[in-house]
Amino acid sequence: MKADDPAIAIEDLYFRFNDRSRSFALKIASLKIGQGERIALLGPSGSGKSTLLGLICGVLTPREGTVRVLGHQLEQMSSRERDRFRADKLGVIFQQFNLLPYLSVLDNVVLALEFSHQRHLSAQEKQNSARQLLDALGLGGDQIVRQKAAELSVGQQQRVAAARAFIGAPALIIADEPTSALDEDRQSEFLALLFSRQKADGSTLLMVTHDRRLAGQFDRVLNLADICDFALTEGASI
Amino acid sequence: MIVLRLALQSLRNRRTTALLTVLSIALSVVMLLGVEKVRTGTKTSFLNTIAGTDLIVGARAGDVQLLLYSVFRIGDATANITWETVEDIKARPEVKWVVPISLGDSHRGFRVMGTSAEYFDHYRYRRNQKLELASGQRFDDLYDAVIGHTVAEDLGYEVGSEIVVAHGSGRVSLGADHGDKPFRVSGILAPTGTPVDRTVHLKMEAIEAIHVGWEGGSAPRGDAIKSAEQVRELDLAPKSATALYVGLKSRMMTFSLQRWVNTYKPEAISAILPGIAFAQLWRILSNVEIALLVISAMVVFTAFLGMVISVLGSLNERRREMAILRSVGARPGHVFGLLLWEATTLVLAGICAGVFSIFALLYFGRPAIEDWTGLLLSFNLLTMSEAKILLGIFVGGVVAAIFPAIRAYKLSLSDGLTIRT
Repeated sequence: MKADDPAIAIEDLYFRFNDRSRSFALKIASLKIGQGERIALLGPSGSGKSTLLGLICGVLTPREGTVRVLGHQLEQMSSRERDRFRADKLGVIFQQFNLLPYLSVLDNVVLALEFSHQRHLSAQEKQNSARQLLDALGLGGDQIVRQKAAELSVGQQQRVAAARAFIGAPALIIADEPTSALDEDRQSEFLALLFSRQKADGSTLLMVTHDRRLAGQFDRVLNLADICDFALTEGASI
Repeated sequence: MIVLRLALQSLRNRRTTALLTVLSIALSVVMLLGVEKVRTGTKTSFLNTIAGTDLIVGARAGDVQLLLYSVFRIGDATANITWETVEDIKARPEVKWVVPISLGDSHRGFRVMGTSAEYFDHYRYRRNQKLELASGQRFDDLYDAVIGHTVAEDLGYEVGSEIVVAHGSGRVSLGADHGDKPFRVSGILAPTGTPVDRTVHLKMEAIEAIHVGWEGGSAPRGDAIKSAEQVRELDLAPKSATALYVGLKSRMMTFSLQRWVNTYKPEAISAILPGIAFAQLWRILSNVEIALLVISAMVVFTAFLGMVISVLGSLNERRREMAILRSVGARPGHVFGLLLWEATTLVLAGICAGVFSIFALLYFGRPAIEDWTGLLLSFNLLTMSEAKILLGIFVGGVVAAIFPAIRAYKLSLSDGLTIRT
């Protein structure tokens, strides 16, 4: 990827689910997000945000158009290559319940490196970098990293999820309403952590939210309604 | 490797369900292997009931019937063989030895069998094992009895105990007994796991003695009554036998003597080869063994069904887990592998636990089981057929696990990173 390439470039995208049970379609003429940008994506639930994230992460493929992420032409890659790409280049944070309940905090963070082939690290190196990240996110205690993920509070779980997203310094962080399960104090605390890591790594952050109050802290705010030519929700027909 | 590690950790997290699944698979393995052990044990015990005897001769009847009454003391002979015939057979050049047996009476539900002293030399079981006396000695006096292990055990007899023989073979004596001529237990045989254990052995002459005056078929009256001591003075040479165990000088002669017996003119008698008659009888019994195997196979099937149901049931709550795995770059194939590994681990653990249990069971319980049932159980490492059964269980389990794994694969493909609950 060249330095002036956009992190995400979508053109003439048309997407529709294959199965008839989900009659949802999405059409985007153009969307560009630059490297290192901090973007908030706004839109009500059911508007196609998750679908768009699925396309950017390479678990969904468009019927038409191109999705270029970090210099990779996703629609031209095999599903195996896209899975590999996601393991190597992306960090993902969900709204809630990000962690495998049966793994320890440390193993949950290391998990993000297990499917990546780009960096061959020893088990010790993986653990060390996970420990460093957890430290930076305020979860450095020996006891806490050995705890089962299910035993943590929601706020702690989200910070562990952030550590997992950032481990290995991926170039693009995708966050799907990561703060909506947190109370207001925790929200800003979490966002501050998120931004500082992102700044340190120089990565691009695309965060979906429906909370307009948070929008001011981002470089740019995108409204899904503005970038979409149309998004047909369930039950509708073309 | 990460998938295997995840599978193990995920199982540990759900250890109660996992343990129950392992337990049900282990139980089904124990059942199937147990049936197999009992089946082969029954067969060996059964086929080894009598050995060393080349022919069994009795009144003309079906092979199986002759085998049943002469060896298993089940049912009755249609007729006896006269002693002239016995002498004729003894005189044949092929014949090395003849042991007569005489059946018809009983003692408290156990069959009484008259025979000669050579019986104890020639009767063999489990290939070539001789009858051994656990205590006392063979019969010597006319009123001596040698009893089998089970008879002594059940009725609490010791050497020197006095027993009374009932006329006929019913468990309940209807007043017609030989109470005037009591017997003394002279010896008790060591357990054999054969019908010998359930037999009271008397001398051929003793059978004649207790039936003096019974020629008409009912108890003697008046002058015909002879006391035990009076009878000793009479000629007690046997006048008939129920069946004969015959040993030959050479096995090559078996068929020629059999032909001679089967065409013997003065009396309708027939000769059977015990091995062949046993095989015939076993074929009749083997339906039971097939039924047992089918039932155990169904138990295994049920165990797998339980496993599949529990995995499928957990799939919905695990769709979140799959989305997480996909988000860190796991392929749908990894999700498939995760579920397959989990099931394979359960099946393997179940098989190991089952095999371990059956060996423990055999190790500690075998003497008691053999004593109780007379079954010869083999305590060897896995036999070929047992190994095949285990392999079958393993393959069956993995195949069963493929279904939920395919389901998970499809779910993770269609869900992608969307967390659905």
